[in-house]
This record gives sequence, structure tokens and C-alpha cells, in this order.
Amino acid sequence: MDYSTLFFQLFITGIFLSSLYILMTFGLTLIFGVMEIVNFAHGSFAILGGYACLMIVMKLGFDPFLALIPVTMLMVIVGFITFELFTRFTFDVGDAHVVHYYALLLIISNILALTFGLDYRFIQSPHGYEQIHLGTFKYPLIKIFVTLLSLAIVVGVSLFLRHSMMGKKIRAVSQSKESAEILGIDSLAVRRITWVIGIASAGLMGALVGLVNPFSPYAGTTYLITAFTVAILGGMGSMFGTLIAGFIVGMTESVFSIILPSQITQVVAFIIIIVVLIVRPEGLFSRG
Amino acid sequence: MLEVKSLAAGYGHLQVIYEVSFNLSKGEVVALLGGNGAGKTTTIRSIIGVLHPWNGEVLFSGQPIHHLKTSAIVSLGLSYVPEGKSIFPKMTVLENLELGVNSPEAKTLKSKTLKEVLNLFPRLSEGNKQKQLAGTLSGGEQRMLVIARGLMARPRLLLLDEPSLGLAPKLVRDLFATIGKIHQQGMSIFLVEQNVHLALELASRGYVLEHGHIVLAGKGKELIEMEHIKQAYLGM
Repeated sequence: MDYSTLFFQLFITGIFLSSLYILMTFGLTLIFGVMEIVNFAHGSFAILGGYACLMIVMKLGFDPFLALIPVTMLMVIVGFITFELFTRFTFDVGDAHVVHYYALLLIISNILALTFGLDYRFIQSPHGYEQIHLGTFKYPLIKIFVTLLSLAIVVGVSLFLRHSMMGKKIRAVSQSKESAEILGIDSLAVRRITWVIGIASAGLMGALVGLVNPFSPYAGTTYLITAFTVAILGGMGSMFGTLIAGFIVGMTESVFSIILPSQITQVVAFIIIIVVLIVRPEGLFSRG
Repeated sequence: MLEVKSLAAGYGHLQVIYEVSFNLSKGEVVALLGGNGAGKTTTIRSIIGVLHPWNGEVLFSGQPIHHLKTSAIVSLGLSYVPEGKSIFPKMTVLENLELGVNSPEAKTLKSKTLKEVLNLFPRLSEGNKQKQLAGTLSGGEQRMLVIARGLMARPRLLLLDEPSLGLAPKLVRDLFATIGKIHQQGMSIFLVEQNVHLALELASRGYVLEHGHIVLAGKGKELIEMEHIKQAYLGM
């Protein structure tokens, strides 16, 4: 493999990892920015989305990419139900909410384990073995699809936050809940929508990752660690910070994957985080 | 239009206002005066529903509103302009103004209201200012933006909390001239203010709050001549 092909391979892999990491963190940081909730159950909602996609593909015979539509609808419903039955009761408990959300992580993971067993599962796609060829460069087509879809979801939600009136209200509540409320903005409704967007994006991410990597009921913790890594590096609650940090972590892992074993590449990302946090304890960007 | 009856409110176990009663008629400017810690902001926050009153009643156009959420109170036609710079600093001037539009009527008339509001505060439409982040405006401009945002709701009653706070004397005079213009256009205004002289020049009536109790009430010109007001608030 010549250097230009190697460079291109690393770049495309970096973009693939970055897009997943950004999507993985997007909902987590949105929920933290608006609701000041550290959602430890975020990864388990992603796994739930993965299993939902698997069942829709296996039982109903959907194409995996088409299955993302019912997965989104299902995760929106899950978002509304969990908000009404759980989330809204955790607003006034202060830092103790972390324990509540850790408990939610365990509840969802254990229900999934009881339902589907502990084996790793994989969402089979008819496009799973297809590759694109550009000269000597080869890359799995499914990873290109997953990258494009992840980025499309992130861009779509970002445009919604930037330009829609509800998006502006979400940003306003994230900057000052009281200032928003005195204008007549219903902060509970805003937080409900924020939670639903966060949960739906987690579920979609889980389904997309399930197309390229196997998953099990307890794999949510791995997703969560990656999401926290990106969120802390970018600055908890900062959407722009998430984009930049996801790109940094994804590219770093890709570049170092050629010289280091895969178990070590994540350590490099942590070293970068430690250095950044020494210089900027609040992360690369502040909330807003 | 606004009737406050025997209002009591506070924070935690600390009662701040006691048996506060006053009223405001349509088209009137009424001032609530008092020093730091007298309970002025507590009173205004209890009216708009940010604080839940412990006791008493607040009626707006005859309808009890003291049990309603802030969003419901705002939709009835009250708009609260808080003290300080309660802008959204990382959003543009235009986005800040748009966030004031929440009632169905305000949504229908958004473009017309925006034009009217920018006529009142031309500094907010100079050059590219509407696209500027609100946090980069000067202190005076941020105060103007908060009042302008309050007007975007097309309220029937404007509750202004210490608009002069922290501003240079020249800016305060300009701001009060603009508040005067807003009143001349027919707006009812409830003004909470420490600057007694300016407030009573604008208000037809005033109430004086001390240690959470209304201790004086009267027409603006009568109040300004009272010995207690002269000594306690005007340094005469």
C-alpha cells in the first residue's frame, strides 16, 4: 500500500470513527446542556436501539437502513415514556441524580439481558460484504453509509437547534432556565423535547453501530465511556465542542491504530484529554 | 387591571413581603419604590409567578393569576422585564427578540411588533447589530434588549424591575424617555425602581415599600413632596 492510499485509508477511518463518536455524544451533551443531567443510562438506550433494529430486521424482514425509521419512532416513544415516568422526577434531587441514572442503566441492561441473553449480536445487512474500490483503496460500503447517516443526523439536529423556534427555546433554556421561563417559555416542555431528541439519537446511534460492530446488553457502558471522553474534552454541554472533540478522538484513534495495538489507541485519546484538561479544565469549549 | 391583595411571599422560611396590597388601572404607570432588600423584586416575581405567593391574591383583569404558572400568566398579557442583564448571551440580538414571542397574538403580529420595537430602540438595529451575539452588546444596549424583548410579547401590562440599575446617568435618562414613549403609546406599566425622582416623574401613582410593608401610597407629585420621601430617598 502506498503512502497516499494509507493516508486516505486513515482519513476515511478517522471520519467514520469521528461521526460515530459525535453521534454517540450528541444526545448526552444536549441533555446535560439543557437539563444538567449526567445521563449514565445513555449507552443503555443506545443498546436498546440496537436490539430494536435487530428485531425489526429479523422478525419483520426490514432492510437494516429502512429499519432505522421504525427504530426512531420507537425510541421517540421510549423517550416520552421514560421522561414522564422517570426523568421529570429527578430534577430536584441535585447531584444524587447520578445514582438514579446509574440505576436506570442497570435496569435497562438487565431487562435486555433477560430478554435477549448475554451473547453478542450483530445486525446482518445485505450490503455487509460490499466494498468500494478507488484504485488500490478499498473500504466497506456499509461503513460509508453509517458515516453519512451519522453525520446527516448530527447536521439535521444541529439545523433544528439553530433555526427552528423550538431549537431556539432549547438553546435559551440551556443558557438560563429562569430567563426563559419569565418570557413564558414552558421549560418542562422544552426539557421533554430535549430528552426525547437525546434518547432517539442514542437509539439511532446504537442501531448504526450494530450494523458494523457486535453488541451485547452490557456494551452500553463502553459507549458511555467514549461519549464521556468526547463530551469532557469538548466541554460538557457544548454542541460545537462535541463536534470538534469527536473529530479529534476519532482521528487520533485512526492515526495511532497503525502503530499501536487497538487496546492502546484509546489510551492516546485519554492522554490528549488529560493534557487539554490541565490547560482548560472546562474542556475545549464552554456550554451554549 | 392589576389588583394585588394582602400578598405575602418569601424564600425558604424567610418571609420578605407582608400584606402587600395595591392596584393599577389600564393605561396607568404605577411605581413601587423602596431601598435595597425592601421586597420590591419579591413582589414583582410573585406577580409573574416566578415565586409562588404564600398568601394573598393577584388579580389581572378580574381573573385570579396567583396560582398560575409563569407561562400561563405571560399568555394572559403580562410581560416581566427583570433587573440585570437577563439576556441569552450566546444568541443573536434577533434571536433574543424572537424568544419574547410566545402568545398566539404575538406570533401573528411578530413582524409588525419587531418593526415597532426597533423604532423605539434604534440602537438595536444599527448596522449588523441584529446578527450580533447579545453577550457582546454594551451594558446599556443589553438593558434595551431586555425591555425590547419584553415588548415583543405585545403585553397589556409591562412589569419593569429596576430598569436604571447599573447604568450611567445619561443612559438612564434616555431609557426613561423611551419608557415614557412606550407609555404614551397606551401601555400600562408597573415600575419597580430605586431612583425615586425619575420613577415619580413618570408614574401617576406610587407605593413605598419598606421591610416588606407598604408604608406610603399616593400620587407621584404628592409623594415627592412628602418629608419621609425627601429624607429617606432623595437625600434632602
